[in-house]
Amino acid sequence: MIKLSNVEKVYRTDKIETLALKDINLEVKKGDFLSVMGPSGCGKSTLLNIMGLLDSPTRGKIEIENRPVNNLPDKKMAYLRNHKIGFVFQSFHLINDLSVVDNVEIPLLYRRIPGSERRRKALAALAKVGLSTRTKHFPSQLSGGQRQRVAIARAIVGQPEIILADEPTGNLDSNMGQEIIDILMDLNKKDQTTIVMVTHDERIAEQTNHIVRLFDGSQVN
Amino acid sequence: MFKNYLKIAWKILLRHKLFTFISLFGISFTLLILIVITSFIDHTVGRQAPENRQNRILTATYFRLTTESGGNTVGPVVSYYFLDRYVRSLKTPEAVTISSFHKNVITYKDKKKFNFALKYTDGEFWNIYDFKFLEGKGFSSADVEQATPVAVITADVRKKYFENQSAVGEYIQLGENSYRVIGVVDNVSLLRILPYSDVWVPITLSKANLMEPKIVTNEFPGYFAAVLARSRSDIPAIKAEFRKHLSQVEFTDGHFNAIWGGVERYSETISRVFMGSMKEPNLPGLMLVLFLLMLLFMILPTINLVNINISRIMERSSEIGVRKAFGASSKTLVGQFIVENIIITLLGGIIAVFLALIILSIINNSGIIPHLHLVMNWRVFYKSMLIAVFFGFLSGVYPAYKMSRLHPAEVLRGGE
Amino acid sequence: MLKHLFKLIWNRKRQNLLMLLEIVISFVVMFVVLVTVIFLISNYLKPLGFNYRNVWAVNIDWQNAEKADIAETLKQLEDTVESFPEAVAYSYSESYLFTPAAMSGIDLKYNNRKISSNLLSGDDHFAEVLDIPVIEGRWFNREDNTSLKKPLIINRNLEKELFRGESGLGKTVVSGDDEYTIVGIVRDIRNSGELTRSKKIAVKRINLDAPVDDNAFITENFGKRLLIKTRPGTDARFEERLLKQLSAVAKDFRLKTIRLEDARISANKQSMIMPVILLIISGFLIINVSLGFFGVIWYNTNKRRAEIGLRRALGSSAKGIYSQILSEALVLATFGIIIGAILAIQIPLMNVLSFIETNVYVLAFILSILFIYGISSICALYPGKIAANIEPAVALHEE
Repeated sequence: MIKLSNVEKVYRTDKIETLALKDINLEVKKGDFLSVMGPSGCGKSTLLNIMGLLDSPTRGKIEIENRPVNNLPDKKMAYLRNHKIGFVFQSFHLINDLSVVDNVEIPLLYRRIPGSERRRKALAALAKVGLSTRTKHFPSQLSGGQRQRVAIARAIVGQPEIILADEPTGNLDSNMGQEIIDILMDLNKKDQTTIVMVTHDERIAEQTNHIVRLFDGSQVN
Repeated sequence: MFKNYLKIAWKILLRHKLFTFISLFGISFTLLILIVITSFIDHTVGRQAPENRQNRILTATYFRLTTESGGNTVGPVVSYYFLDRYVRSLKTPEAVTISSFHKNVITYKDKKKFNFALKYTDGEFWNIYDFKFLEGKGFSSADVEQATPVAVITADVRKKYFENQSAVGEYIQLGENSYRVIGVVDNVSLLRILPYSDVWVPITLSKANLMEPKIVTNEFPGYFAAVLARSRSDIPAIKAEFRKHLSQVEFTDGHFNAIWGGVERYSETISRVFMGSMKEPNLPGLMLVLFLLMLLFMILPTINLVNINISRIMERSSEIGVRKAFGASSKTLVGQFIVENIIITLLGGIIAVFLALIILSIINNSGIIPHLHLVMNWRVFYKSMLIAVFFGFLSGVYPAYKMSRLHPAEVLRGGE
Repeated sequence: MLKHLFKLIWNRKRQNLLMLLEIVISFVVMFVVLVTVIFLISNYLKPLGFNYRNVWAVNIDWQNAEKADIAETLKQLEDTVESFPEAVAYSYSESYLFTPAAMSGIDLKYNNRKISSNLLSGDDHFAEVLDIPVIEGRWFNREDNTSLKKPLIINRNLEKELFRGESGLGKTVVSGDDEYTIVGIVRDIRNSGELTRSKKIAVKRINLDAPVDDNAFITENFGKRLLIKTRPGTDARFEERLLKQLSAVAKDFRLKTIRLEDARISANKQSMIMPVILLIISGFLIINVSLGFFGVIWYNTNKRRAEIGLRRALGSSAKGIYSQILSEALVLATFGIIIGAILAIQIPLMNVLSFIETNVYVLAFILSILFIYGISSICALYPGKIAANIEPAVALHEE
């Protein structure tokens, strides 16, 4: 599904060079549920950004469904992000000025889909995460767990094959966090959605198929 | 504390150069336009040569007369006879002058054509109006009585007609008549419509039948009177005395049967023309209209500034949150913002004053209005600064209110 | 997508309120300015209706002369003008020419319709001196000496209003105690200058041979003119000689000469003062508002870095972000234009400025809309570009 070979990422500012990722080789298979673990600043988020085509590696190769995607033009990248990948973030990143259902619809706005169809799909996605009753609410009226469920609905509304989750439980208490993990597990099992999740909660990571550990930009296992 | 405020404000202004520039641009140009208008108004009605005794001068210029059948005549229409009989006879004032409004005359000298404004006036004119004489002096009441053909000219006439040579004792030809120049005065702006002229000659030289017993003259424009009060406190008495005279007017023109007018300040006359349908002066009304027009003009720049100010504050919302969290009260924060706003408004005001100096000299030199001399004097300056502060207040209140309502917890969490 | 943006802006209405207010006021200001400018231009493009070139006007003030002598002296002045080889034609008139501030008027009645019109007057040579084409009927001539009713010449505008589509030629109209017969129709005489609007015009006949009491020329108070058309190339020396000789003949008159070409220039300047002031002030207001827009859009874009990063993550391209910022500005402008249009449309609807044609309003309306859209998009271009360059990976991880 996603294959990284010899990926390296260097951040350059005026004077300092920071090596964020070093020689990463990783293959995520279809239907996998992978956890990326490691201490703060070890490069977990960078890795996820590269997988999600939000950032490009300094060196190395990245393939999605066996097609190299390193140097695609911006439009193609946007297309892949839209059709293949769904994102879930630690801080939810919901747009406060839009209602729940409008937030969920956003990925579909970048496809040519009629409005009624968009609405139907968004409502279906919300039903899947158990938020059918809150569609007209605004994010500020929801609890943290509910917000993250909206974010998941938004990630799955375009039926992507991959979900990239960046510490989805980081801002939640353990009960709510478990709810979110349950939803992700469910998606992984029922829909065969490939999931890559960054976390530093060992208990949560244990529930997934694989764990990749990073330390100072390198894979440790 | 205050010094600290200033320091922070200055740093903040430098940190957001774009916002500072936009604010300064808006403030300085808004104030610039208001300063130019203020200067214009001051130039029209403020104290200034030759109306240095302006707060003691009252004039009778515009009148409204109506007929029984509802017809009326309005404007500078009254005759010399009327003013002589009902204004010159006033007991309270120190002095009274009656003059014609200026008329343009064409004259030629050495194949060059000149177009000069000519005013017929009397000896008291030179005592009431305070002209700056560059040469010679004004004509006396005796000169007027004897109809001596003498003239007072402006520096501009001397420059054009006498090629800047000393003019006293020389002769100037206007139409069929020749006048001996006995005085040269500084130029007068056309906006000082009553004393304004290029050449002044004794009123007895006018060929018009001055004492024809009619209230409305068939000349246009007609005549006006200016009276000098002994002191400002005499003004109400003079007004009252003239009102009494006016109520006893003998209507000699036949069809007219009512008259409105007064001896009054020129600003009151203006308010009577624009606000009081020529009947009664309405100075507060005129001021209100001017104030509303000013507000109307200031709406857009104010909203714009409010908008920028809110952005400026919101951009610092996390800073505000931190300060609040560490114990700064809303009051100190609002104080900080107000100091900042005052500094930027005053800064804009100072820029506006400098720009205004340039613009005023451009307008003065453009020749749109003859001998216009708009200046930035203390009166204009302090009014401008008053407007600047008002403007700063107007644009600062809402953002300050919004700022005081920011909740530290929400701000720190990054919410709205 | 558009609906989405509408929703976004609608839900942010509190933050956008001030911007919206600015657009609304800017729209109204622009509308007023454009109506003024287009009105002036459309006036300028219309024919003046007469020819001012090589014409001198001698303004006559006879307040100090004996009434009984005036007509005689005026005739002597004609003889003096006749002696100048440069003078091609001459005419007495009371018409204000190129003096926008001054006007005289007359009320005319026809079939119980009372119409107020501007009034000019001229003698039998007036049309010849000023090259005024008579499109129906004729100009004044000696025939009028014997007719019982006074002759009157009107322009098309007045004919349309007074006779409602019928021909006015030969009809009788009443003004006060006088009866007039329409003897001729002219297209237009825009005596106040090219920048002023086309008005209703009636021209009365001046006849020096009429008995003094009966002569409108004498009974009216001011504005008497002797117009002299000269050969091309005549210069100011003619003016000086003319004035000298005329003054020698009419000792009791005060005479003033002016070349109509000069009078026209100063009239146009006078007509331009208010529009130029309006233009300067509104120009400043618009620049001010544009800068403000720019600042606020830029600030808002910066504030929404996370949102923009998110949209990139969810599949928007950089170009998509760019066009989103631009479209948002245009959607906001649309809201503002709609409200502004409702306000601005009141100006023509109130019909107080009925002399402004509908076309002028329509054109000004369209141009104001384009202008507001133009300004909004210009102000959003740079912030849009910055937004497009936002690195989603960075923007999503900063708090």
